[in-house]
Amino acid sequence: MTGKRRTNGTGFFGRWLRRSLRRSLSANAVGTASLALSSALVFCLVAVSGGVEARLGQDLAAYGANLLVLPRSAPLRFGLGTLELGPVEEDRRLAESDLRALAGTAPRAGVVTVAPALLARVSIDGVAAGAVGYPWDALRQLNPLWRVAPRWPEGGEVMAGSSLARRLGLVAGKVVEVAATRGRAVRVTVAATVETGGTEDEDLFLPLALAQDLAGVPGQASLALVRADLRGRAPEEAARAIEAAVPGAEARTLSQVASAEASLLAKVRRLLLLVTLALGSATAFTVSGTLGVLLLARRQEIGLCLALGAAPGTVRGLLLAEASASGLAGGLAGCVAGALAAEAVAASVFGALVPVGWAAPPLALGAALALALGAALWPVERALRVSPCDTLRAP
Amino acid sequence: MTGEHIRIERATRRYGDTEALRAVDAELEAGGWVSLVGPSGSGKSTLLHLLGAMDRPSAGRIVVGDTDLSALDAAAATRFRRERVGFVFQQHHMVPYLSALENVMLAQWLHSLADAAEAEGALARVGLAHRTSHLPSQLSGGERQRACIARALVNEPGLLLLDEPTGALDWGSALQVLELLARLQRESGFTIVCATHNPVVARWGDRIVTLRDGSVAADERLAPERPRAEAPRPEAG
Repeated sequence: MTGKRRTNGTGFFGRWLRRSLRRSLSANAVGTASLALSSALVFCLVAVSGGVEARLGQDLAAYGANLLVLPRSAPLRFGLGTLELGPVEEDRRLAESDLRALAGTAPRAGVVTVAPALLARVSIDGVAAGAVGYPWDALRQLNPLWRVAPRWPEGGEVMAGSSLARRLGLVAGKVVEVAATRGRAVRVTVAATVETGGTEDEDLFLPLALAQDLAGVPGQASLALVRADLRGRAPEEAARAIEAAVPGAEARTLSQVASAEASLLAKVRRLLLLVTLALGSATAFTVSGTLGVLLLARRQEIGLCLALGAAPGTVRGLLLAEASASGLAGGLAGCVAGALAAEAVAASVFGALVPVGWAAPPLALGAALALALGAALWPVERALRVSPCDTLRAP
Repeated sequence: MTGEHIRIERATRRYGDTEALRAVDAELEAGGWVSLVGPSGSGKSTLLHLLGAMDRPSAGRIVVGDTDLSALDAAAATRFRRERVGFVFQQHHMVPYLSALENVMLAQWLHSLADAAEAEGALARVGLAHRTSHLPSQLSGGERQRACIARALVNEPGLLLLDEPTGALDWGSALQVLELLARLQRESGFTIVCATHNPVVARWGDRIVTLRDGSVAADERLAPERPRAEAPRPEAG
């Protein structure tokens, strides 16, 4: 052979594939559209599930702290919401400055909010009561669901738990004398009463600095409530990071809150995965069925290629390459449609735009390709079982 | 190119309880043109498929040149088909989305390398130099069959198998195809085995083997000097 335009194996196969694709992509429009739909949904689910997790994280933050930092070996008897944890020894304390610096010193803990607290026994107008000092801003961030009336206190004001307020007749605007056990006393204004739904309803809430002043322990705290971002992070891992950052501290996970978050997020992920799998299966059946019908119509072509001496692997390669191209086309279309759908879903469900993570496009494309190839395997193998003798026989 | 010599020894093909071919014995000379005739179901196509290694005998042997087809595995049979046999079918089957040129190049590529110039030459030899870029749907039946002949012969096989090659053509086109085949065989010397219902087409061969119920019923050798082109108009089909 002396021709000037010899085409090597890959070259002619590419030409054959291009010609074949031009026809099969239009013939297999239904299959490609199904793949595009699946890919769009995978894209949308991945993008929106990221948004759902972020949103859930924000919403779950409303349930308060998920880590408690105590002086090491302190007996844990302290109340937090509906959790009865009991009193903490008053003479073991942590440095407030170490606790406030946690976000910077324990980056692996994912600390979002720290509320150092000082527990104290006080008398209010001569009546003994439990008191706890907090920085108002941190307390408010950790407990957005508390019912505070008429408003959150500011500066040197105090706030009475609802049970305590009923017992002592404390109302907003009333000025009371608060005295520490060691004799120091101040007159303060009750700015609000609060319903926490827990044991804190028996406490008087003071600004942290005032509590430290009354107790005579400036710059110290009995404990700290910590809100950490536990997404993708084990609660225990965050606790260990905090212990490493605060000398003499022991961090404990508030397991009910932490496990509720983990469980809810896991359920959301599982639900989304099941929806994706169900949809993927439906698409695989659709694509497989459509391809089966199309290949049935191409039996003579396949039989002819086999009769001419094409190895089954060559014909299989051509047909699977066609399926891949269909998957790629469907995947790309699906990415565009999925991005638009994710925006629409996010706007209607969350009222905000969902940022598309880097994982969504490759996952959507990969899903379309895997579906296309997976769905093509059986029809292609069945088509290759044709006998050229049967398909090429004269009618 | 030299034609393939074929030896058929007690070749039998069974499909379940049905015997499509019954212990057929024959020897076909290299470079000859053998017509297989007989009614539908007589075993013509079955024998053709066995000769082309598209099927295997249930018993007996078929030896083409020095190759025992009954001993070939699937991969070796595929190699045999692409390297040593050319096929032409009644329905002038072509890959519908490839041009005439690309259909010929496909056979080249399956054999070894696709060569556009050589494929164009093959089409020119069958009178289709001006139709190389046309799709099968843009060619007439006769043109499609000539393109199939070009494809079958482009790799210079020693054996050309024809299954009712003129069955779907009008007589004018059929005559062109037969004359073309005769000319190409004279030039290249390949062996032709042609299954046909048509007695006029059968007489283009130099030997007519008649099959009936899967067995050889008659074996007639024709005079080499017979006037092929003046053969009477064949009956349809």
